[in-house]
Amino acid sequence: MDIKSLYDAVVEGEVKAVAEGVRQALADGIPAEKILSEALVPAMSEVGRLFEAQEFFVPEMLISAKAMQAGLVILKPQLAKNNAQAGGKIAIGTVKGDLHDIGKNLVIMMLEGTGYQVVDLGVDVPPEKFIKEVRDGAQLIGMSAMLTTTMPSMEATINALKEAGVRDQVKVMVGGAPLTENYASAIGADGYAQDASAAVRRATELLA
Amino acid sequence: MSAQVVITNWKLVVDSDMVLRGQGADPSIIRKRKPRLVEIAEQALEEGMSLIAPVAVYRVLDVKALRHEIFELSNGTKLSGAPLSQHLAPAKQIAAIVCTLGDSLEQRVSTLMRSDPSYAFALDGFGSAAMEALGGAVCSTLDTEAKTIGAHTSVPLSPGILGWAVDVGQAQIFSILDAAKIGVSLNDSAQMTPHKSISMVLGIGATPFGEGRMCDFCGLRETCRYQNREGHFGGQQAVTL
Repeated sequence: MDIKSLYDAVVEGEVKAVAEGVRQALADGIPAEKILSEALVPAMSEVGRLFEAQEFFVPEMLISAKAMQAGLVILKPQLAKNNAQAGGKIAIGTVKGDLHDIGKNLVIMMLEGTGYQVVDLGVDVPPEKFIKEVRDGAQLIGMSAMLTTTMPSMEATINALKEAGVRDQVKVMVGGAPLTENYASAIGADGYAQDASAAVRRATELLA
Repeated sequence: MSAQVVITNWKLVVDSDMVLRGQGADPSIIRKRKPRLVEIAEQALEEGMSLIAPVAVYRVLDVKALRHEIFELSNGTKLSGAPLSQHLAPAKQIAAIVCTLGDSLEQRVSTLMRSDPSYAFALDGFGSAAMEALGGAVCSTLDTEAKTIGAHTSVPLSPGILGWAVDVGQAQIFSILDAAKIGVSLNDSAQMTPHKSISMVLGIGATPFGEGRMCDFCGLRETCRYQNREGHFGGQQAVTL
């Protein structure tokens, strides 16, 4: 399978075809880095664009991400052997008091699909856990909140990062249904993303 | 004053289109564009049905008075909020309702989310569809009861709508009902556990209430991609056994 066909298979969410295509491409001598950078990553970017344009629905994005993961699993040993660079370390969690995790999980999938190392902190995450991840090398933390009653936990976490003396070491991105760009700015976050695809774009900007 | 009623034997009717809608997708488009997602929805539907235990608790109370946007109910509790007084004003009675699917489904979703997110999301979509079906069925049951005495019911209103904050509304509803009887509790953020649960109030009165849908009152209606989608409370069919 050539690069263009692999790209199309990821966009269409054809899991088996992507796995077989990646194996075939490697067997044909196409470098793993080329498969990743010219087929899988741009395909997921296109899926993200289609989602943001409201042409794709969430389950379509997920099946494409699954297809990409199927290809990545095959590529990873080769990429590790070639010392391919990871995109950076990101820690993500739903803030203290909030138990919603679907949106957070979508963001994690998309970030991992783009090559980031992501630490999933789960739900109901207290500020101390975020602080620990920053001390352990996370370059960006992502916080999710689904309720107006739990949004203040985001500001509390940012204040805790400041008090712990680590705020300058990390970028902070927030998201969730009740949030707005203005709210993110008001609480001192570095970025806001309205959905999973935008989160990837914003994270890439913040870590550039 | 009415005692609270618990109903456990709900037979919900959910189909694969509803599961796709529960994931925020348009079934007519998905069926043409990604048939594989329809297969996943059907698989989620089959497994999901075995994981839910639909149950509802409700209590109907007489309205003693409506003063300054506050309903005073026959057991001494109060319901306050601009949208309540605006949309439930003709009510002679108010039903407080909590219903849930139990926690087995969400545990399965949580387990699957890392290994197979696509299927996990389909299962969660099934849960959303089943939750709407249950909410619609409970309202339909109360509406049928109301009709037997020539009364009408309002659109259901849930905490979190514009003018009725989540923490305020949840505290009010949970003070009227003992939702622990069906295994539903609130955390410090006024969030219900199990997650696939709904709380709401329904007005009952002799004169018709104004027309409306839940989306009309939702605080996310300016940005929501899925508002006014087909099947929101009332589109589904369900019967009590």
